Amino acid sequence: MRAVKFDDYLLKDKLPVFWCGGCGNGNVLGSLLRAFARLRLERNKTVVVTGIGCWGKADDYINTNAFHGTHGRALAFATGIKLANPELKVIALMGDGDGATIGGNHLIHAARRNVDITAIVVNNFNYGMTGGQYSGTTPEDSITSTSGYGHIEEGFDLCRLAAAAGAPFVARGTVYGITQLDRLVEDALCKKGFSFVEVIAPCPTHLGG
Amino acid sequence: MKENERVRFIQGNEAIAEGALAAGARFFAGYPITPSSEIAEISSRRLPAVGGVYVQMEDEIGSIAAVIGASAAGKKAYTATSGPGFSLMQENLGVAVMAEIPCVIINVQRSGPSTGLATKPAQGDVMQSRWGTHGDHGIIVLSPSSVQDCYELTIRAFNLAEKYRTPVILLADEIVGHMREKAVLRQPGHGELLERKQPDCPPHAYKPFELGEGVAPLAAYGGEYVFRMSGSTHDEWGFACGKPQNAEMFVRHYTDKIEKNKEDIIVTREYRLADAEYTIVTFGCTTRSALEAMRISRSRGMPVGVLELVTLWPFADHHVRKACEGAKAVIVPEMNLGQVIREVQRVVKGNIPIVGVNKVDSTAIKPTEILEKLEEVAACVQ
Repeated sequence: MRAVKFDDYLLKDKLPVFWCGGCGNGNVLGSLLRAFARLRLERNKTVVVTGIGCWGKADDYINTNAFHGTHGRALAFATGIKLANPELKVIALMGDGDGATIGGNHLIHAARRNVDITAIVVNNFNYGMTGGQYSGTTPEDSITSTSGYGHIEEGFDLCRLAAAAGAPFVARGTVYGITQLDRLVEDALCKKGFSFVEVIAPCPTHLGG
Repeated sequence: MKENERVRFIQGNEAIAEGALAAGARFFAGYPITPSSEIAEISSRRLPAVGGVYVQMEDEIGSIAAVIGASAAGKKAYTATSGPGFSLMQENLGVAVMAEIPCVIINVQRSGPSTGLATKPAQGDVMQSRWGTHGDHGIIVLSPSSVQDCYELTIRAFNLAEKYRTPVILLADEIVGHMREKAVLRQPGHGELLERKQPDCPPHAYKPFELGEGVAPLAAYGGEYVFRMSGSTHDEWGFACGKPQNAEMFVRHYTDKIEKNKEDIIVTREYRLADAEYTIVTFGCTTRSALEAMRISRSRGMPVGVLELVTLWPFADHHVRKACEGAKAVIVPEMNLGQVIREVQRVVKGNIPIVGVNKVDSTAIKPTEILEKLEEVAACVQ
């Protein structure tokens, strides 16, 4: 079941993607699938675990095994999958609300536990799917649909959080630097242990658009 | 004792852990909580010795998630908890329902609500075990009343989980979990163990949620099949699907696959019901007091019988109706303010008085308390 091209991992009949115009999720999906192809991951030995949110829909377009769980719990499902069968390549795809706010506890413990999982958090600094409410990474003073007077809390720095919790691989890229992001995602997939990639992405529909 | 058996003097929680191992379980994820912690402790020692995995997660939400993930990767998996942890598990219990992933959740009930009395018994989670996770679904809940039951019903819980691709809840309680008595354990390799049905179609044709034959085969991640599991409303392939007809079909399926197989799933025990004029309907630790109350009543010339609900859910409508038919009165003792009694009232027809013996002071219902109620009711219906 080896595939070698980017689109061998893409469910083409599910296109077009449902993400809004200007969203960064498609770019991250591209980086991920190109990395799969370069590493020649076996589709049946690969499990993509997603949470709930815009980026949590990514598995709809990926032609490997998939587990689409609950909001915030992707890393906990992924931990069970990886421990039950260590031969599997397990990738958790989460957003900032999903993976770092409601799922923050699972994130820090997955990093501490150092299970061999790659976590890719697309951080667009708000809950896009539910209409642009503030999340745990929304910057102070931001105007969102639930902070109309300006957000009074500070957001998490996810990379510092993951590093402090013990993740041996921590990286931050953006959807504006795709060449670099391709490399970061591939390096993360090659790293044995818990690898964490934060991808800064825009949400032109709800935040700063 | 037969050659393939071992007699032990053990605690209920230990028997549950032994039962899980005997059932072929090889993955435990949990979070310590009284009065269930011995199950985690024993599993942490025993599982690695048989090639299994023990992992302590950051909370009960993560514990059941890891159990579900491990099961999707092909392992028989379980977790053990008590009231507060069981509440946290309700979210992902729904994933196991929706994605039809076999797993066993052991709830050693304690006094609630909230933190309640951590070391004291109760039977207050009867309805939570049935309806705790949101949305319509069927569920299987087993209730042990002895250490032997703890062992046998844990094995049965895994068998039913595999057969029906469903979460199964073993609803024990602090009394049964912590008491010690004789239990006969199987030697490895003895006794029937059910395994989930595996697909045999070509990989491209595998639909993990095919509705054709009731319960679809379940592949494991890492084998030749590439497939998707989902907690969102999905089609037969596992892809998100928002069509009303699809939602209707699957929600009905989650209920039907349990409710339409009640005859296979339900186990009850009857004690001296043939000539009984008074029926006690009971479950879990309270069964023991009910049986003693029956013995004393009979010695006083009062014909009492007992129906024990070993399977709590799906509810044994037919068995309860039959056991109560023609009775002068029905007594339902439970360590809550009346949960099973609502079901008994639902299924028993006619003008038979149905009376509860309810206790929520964290102490066991005594045989004398059931006896007093029996005599009080008898005086009214004579």
